Amino acid sequence: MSLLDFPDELLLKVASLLPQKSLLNLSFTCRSIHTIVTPDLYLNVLINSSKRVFDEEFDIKTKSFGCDLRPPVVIRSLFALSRFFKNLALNSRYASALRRLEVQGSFPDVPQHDLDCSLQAVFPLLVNLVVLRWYCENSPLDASLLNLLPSAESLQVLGGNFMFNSFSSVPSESRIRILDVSNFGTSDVVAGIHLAHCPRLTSLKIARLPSKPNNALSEKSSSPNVVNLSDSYSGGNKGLSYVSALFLPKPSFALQLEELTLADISISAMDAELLSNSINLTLLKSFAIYNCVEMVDLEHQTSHRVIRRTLPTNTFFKKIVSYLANLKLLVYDVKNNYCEDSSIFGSIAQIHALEELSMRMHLYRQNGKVDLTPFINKLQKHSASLERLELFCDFSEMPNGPLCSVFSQPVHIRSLVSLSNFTKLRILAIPIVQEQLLVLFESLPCESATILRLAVTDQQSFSSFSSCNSCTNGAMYEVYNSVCLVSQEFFSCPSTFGSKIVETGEQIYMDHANRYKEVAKRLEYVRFDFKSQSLLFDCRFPNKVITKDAIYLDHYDNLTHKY
Amino acid sequence: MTKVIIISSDDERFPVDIETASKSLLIKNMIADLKPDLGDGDDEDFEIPTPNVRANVLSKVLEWCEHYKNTVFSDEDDEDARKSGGIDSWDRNFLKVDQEMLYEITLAANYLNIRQLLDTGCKIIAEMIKHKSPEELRKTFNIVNDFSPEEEAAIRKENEWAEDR
Repeated sequence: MSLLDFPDELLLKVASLLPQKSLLNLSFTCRSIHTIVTPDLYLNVLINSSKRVFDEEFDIKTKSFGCDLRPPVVIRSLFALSRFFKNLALNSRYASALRRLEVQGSFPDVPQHDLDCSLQAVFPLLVNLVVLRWYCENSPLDASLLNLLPSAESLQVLGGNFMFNSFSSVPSESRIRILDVSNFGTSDVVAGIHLAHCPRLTSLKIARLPSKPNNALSEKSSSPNVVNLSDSYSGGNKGLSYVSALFLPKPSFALQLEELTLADISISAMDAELLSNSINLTLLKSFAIYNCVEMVDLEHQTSHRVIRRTLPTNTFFKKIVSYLANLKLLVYDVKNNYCEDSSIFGSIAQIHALEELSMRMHLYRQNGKVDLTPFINKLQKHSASLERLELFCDFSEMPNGPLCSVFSQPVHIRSLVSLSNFTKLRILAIPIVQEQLLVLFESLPCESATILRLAVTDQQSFSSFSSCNSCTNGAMYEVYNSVCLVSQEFFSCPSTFGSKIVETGEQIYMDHANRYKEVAKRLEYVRFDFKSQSLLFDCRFPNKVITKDAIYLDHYDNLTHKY
Repeated sequence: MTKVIIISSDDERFPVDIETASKSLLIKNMIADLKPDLGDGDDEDFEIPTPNVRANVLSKVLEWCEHYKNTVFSDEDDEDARKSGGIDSWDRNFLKVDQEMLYEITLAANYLNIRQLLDTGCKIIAEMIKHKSPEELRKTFNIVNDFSPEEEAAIRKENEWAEDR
C-alpha cells in the first residue's frame, strides 16, 4: 500500500490541500502522479504583473464563487504567460481543467496582436470555464473573443473591461449568475445585452468606464475632500441613458437580482420606474451607484440660480427607495445640479436594517461650515445594524464668499456626537477637522471599530505660520489648498515642501492613532487623508503603531473588503 | 441496547452503538434504508459487512467514531472552513501511525463516508508532502522515478510558468 495505490479522486483531494510549490514537486516525482495532479495547476489562474505587496493582509482574498478551487497560480511575467498559453494550446487536458481565469492590475507587456492570436487559439478549448474576470485597464478584452468560448453554458461569472464592437456573447439560456461589464462605448452596445436570456442572473454591474475588480464599495476618487471652488454642478455631462437601453424592451419576467451596480452614467427619475418594473427590487441586497450624474428637473425655474435646502420630490433615489426595504448595502455617489443631499438621508430610513452605507455627498457650503449632525441623526434607525459607514464630502463654495475663512473649518465640530450609538460599527470614514481629532475617541463606538478613515478637511496643525491673516508663508499654503490642478500635481510629486508637510504631520497623526488604539482595542488601521496625501497606520501590534508605506494605500480597498 | 455489528474483510465482528456507527454516512443511510425501526425495542442485531476494510483498520476507525459520537461537526457544508482548519490535537495523536495504516484509515474513511476523518487523513498526508523536494518525496513515499532524463527536462519546462518567482 502506498500513495500510488490511492484512487485518483483521493490523490486529487490531497493535492487540493497542497500549496503550489509542493504540488509542483509532487508532479515531478513520477509519470502516473504527474498525469493525475498536473491539471490541478490549471484550475485557477490569475494574471497580474503589477507590483507585489508582501503583506497578506492587503492581498485580495480570492472568492471561490461556489466552486471549490485552490488559490490561484499567479502569472506575472511575459515568459510565464506565453508558456501558459502554449501549454493550453498543446494539451487539451490542461485547457479543460481551467475553471477560473482572472486578470488584475496590469497585463504582462505582450503585443496586442500576439495576445489576440493566443486567445483565439486558447478560448475555444476552455470547455469547463466557469469564471472569467478580465480587469485590466491597459488591455481590455475584445468582446468578440467571448463568442469563441465553446460551452458558454458553463460560464457563470463574467466580468471585466471589454472592448466592444458588438456584444452578442451572452447566449440564450445561459447560466450566468454574475455579469459585470464595463468600458462601454455607446449605449447601442448595452442594448445588445439581452438580460431576458439570463434567468439565473443575481448580480449585475454596468459601468461606462473601465473598472477595477472587487469594488462593491471602493470609491473612484482618491481625495475625498476636494474643495470645489467652482459654481455648483450646473452643466454636468449628460451621459447616455444606459438604463433604458438595458431594460427596454421590458424583459418578460422580473429579474431576481441580489446585487446591482451602475457606474459613470446619467440617471433620472424615469429610470427608477424602469428598474422597479424590470427587477424584483425587494430581493436586492446590494445597490451601488458610482460617479453618476442626475439631471433634476427644475420645476419652477427662477431668473437666477436658487439654492434649495431640499431636492424636489421626483428624484431617482426617492422614487426607488420605497422598493428597497431589504437592502443591506448602499453606495450612493450621484451628482446633481442641486447641491444638497440631506433629503436622501431622510429616505434611507425607509430601508429596514442597513449594514453598509457609503455616500459621497456634494454639499453646498454657505458659511464655511457644514454640520453633519442632521445626516448622522437621520441614520439612527440603522444604528443597531450598521457595520460600515463611509461619508465622503465634496464641498462647493459660495462663489463670492470670503476666501480666507474657506479652508478653516469645513465640517462642524458637533458632527461626531451622535456616532456613539452605532454599536456595531467596524469601518468608519468621515470628514473631520483638527479639533475633532482630539475628541474623536470620546464619541468613537470603541467596542467594534477596526478601520478608521479620517479625511482631514483643514490644515491647521501643519501651518503655525500659514494662517492667512499673518501671511508670511501663507501664500504657499494657499496654493497648496487650492484646487488648481497644476498646484495639486506639484504637491503630490515628491518635493521638499510636500514632504515637509507630511513629515511634520506624521508624528502628530501617529500620536492620534496611538490614542485611538488605547480606546478601541480592536482597531487595526487608521488612515488620514489630506488634500493630496494620505497616511496609513497599522495598529494591529501591541504597544506600537507602524506607518505603512504609500504603496499600501493603493491596496486599502482590499483591506476593507476583507470584512 | 441494540447494536450494529460491523464485519471486517477478515470476518472479525465489531458490535457498536447506533450513534457511533452513524458517524459513517454509508452505514447511517444503510440503517435508514433497511432498518428504519432499529433501536425501537427490536432486539435483532443488524449486520453490516465492510469487505474493503481489514480488522485492525476497522477497529481504529471505530475508535475514532466512538470518540466523536457525541460531537456535532458544525462546519459540515463550509468547504473553505474545512480546508483551512487546523488538525485537532487528539486527531493528530490518533493518526500517529505508520504510513500504511494512515493510508488504509483514509481509504476506509472514504469508503465508509466519514467526512471529518477523511479530511483529517488527507490533511496529514498533505503535511507529509509539503516542503519536500521531488527526490525527498520519492524517498518518503517509495515512488520510483520512471521519467527519462529528456522527459523530466520537458516536464520541468512545461511547468516553468507556474514556478513562483
